[in-house]
Amino acid sequence: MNHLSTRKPVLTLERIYWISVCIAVVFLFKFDDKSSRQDVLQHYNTTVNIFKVVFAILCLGAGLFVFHFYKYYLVLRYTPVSKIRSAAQGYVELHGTAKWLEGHNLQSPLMKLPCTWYRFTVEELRGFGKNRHWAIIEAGESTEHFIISDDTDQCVVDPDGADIIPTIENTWKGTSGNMTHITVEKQSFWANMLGGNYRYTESILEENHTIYAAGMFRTLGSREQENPPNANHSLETGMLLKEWKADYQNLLNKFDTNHNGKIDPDEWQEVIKAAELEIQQKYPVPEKKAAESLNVVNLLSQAGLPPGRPFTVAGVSHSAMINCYLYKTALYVFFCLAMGMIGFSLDSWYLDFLKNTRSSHAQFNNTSPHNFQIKIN
Amino acid sequence: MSIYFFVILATLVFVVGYVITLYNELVSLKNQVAKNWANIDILLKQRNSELTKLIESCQEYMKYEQATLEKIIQARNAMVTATDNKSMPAVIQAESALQGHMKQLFALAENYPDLKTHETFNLLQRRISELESSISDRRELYNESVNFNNTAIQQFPAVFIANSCHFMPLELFKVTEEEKQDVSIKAGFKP
Repeated sequence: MNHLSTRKPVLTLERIYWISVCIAVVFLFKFDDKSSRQDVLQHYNTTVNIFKVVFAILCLGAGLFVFHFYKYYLVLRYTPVSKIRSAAQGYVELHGTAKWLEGHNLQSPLMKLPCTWYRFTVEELRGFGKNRHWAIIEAGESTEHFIISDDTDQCVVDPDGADIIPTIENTWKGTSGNMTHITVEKQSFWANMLGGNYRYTESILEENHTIYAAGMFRTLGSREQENPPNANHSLETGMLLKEWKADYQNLLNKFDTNHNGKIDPDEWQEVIKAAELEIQQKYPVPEKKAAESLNVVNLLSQAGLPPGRPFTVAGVSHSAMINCYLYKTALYVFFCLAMGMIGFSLDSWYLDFLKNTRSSHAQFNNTSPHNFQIKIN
Repeated sequence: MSIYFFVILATLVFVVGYVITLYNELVSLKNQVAKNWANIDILLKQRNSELTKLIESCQEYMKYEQATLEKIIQARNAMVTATDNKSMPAVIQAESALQGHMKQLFALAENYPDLKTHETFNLLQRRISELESSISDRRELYNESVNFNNTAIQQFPAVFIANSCHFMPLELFKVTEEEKQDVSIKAGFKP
């Protein structure tokens, strides 16, 4: 087992949004730092206006995410699950077991667990005092294809661009930054809080775990040459059925499951299946390898995904998957309101600032904006 | 602008956005049902085409089973008419009859060893069987999407949008057990 194809995590719009929120909030608190008040007093009004614009954009961004994720929630909630065998070309939702592609046995780089997909981060604690922070020294996510298999067929999943909800997500601390020396130890709460200078985070989709996948489904290749029927088997099955039909009472005893004294069409299908099975067991045919017999490949990917539809692979239950988007919607509603309120409260913040400044700085009247006197009185 | 103004504005935006999203979702659901029906329709047409070939190959061997073959032809024609007219009750009735007659045909075919070894017959039988499985899966999918649609338009607050915009509940594609059992395969058990 190995970890084959890895790439750096992609910078999505959502991540850009969160980075922007962090930067804006950090700058806001630095701006309110009383020690620098004297220096910034000259540009306070302009800076407040810049902050207003920044928070208005962040509020608007969160508002757009609200509708984006609510749309995803509705789409996943109301998309029926298809069987892979008969899935139509286009946007589908599948339910099955995650498996490796032949020869692509994947192992997560940190926890060393067999998996079909992983994402990891290794961070190092750097700096001192106020500047102490976690810096990412290694990060990556798997781009290896894997298979989703249900009781009818299987489909290759290309995880590129997928929103993946993992089956296992783990964060722990250690003392090594070297990927090969990282071990997973069960840590107590305090050991984890005070532990080493390295923090490891890993999310994986376990192999053989039940998953849901929603994305664009395409069938590549042709079914024409697949598994031609065996003429000898058909003949033998026909002969056996003829033999069974001669003893109608025996057939009734074995297959008349609803005891209505006759073989119904559904019961007859069972008779045929039983005869075929008996002939197959009597004259076994060597099974062709899946790769040889299948010249058809089902592929689930992001390619051609219509707007407003998520490409999601989730190692959790269906309700947990859709709730994930509902919680995200709620989170962005909160942030939309929070960003808007901060933006709108900047005016009163500004007045408070000026009030405090008047009591401690004599030169205040020369630097305040033109309407200041009216406002604070 | 006060903070109260912002709260009122934000609430208004969310309510309007919510209504628009809900309306769009109801439209998507209706179109999803139509798409799922179209996907069944394709398979029904493919099966009709395969059935024509199957009947042709059977007529050569099953000269004494003209009545059964006639019934299949009638059921197939009824199915073509029903799908063309997009009439769900007629489709359900034709599908039930066709399924029953086909099972009867395959049961009768066991009496003709020459036919059972005929390569074209085997291929067609297998192909029809595959199509049947696919139709069955897609019927399940169609019914699920109809169920989603019907549930969505009856839920609060979507029910107000559905009523004012005339989103109607749709009919399930359900073949009843009683209809299936109308067909007897007793004829296949000739001494």
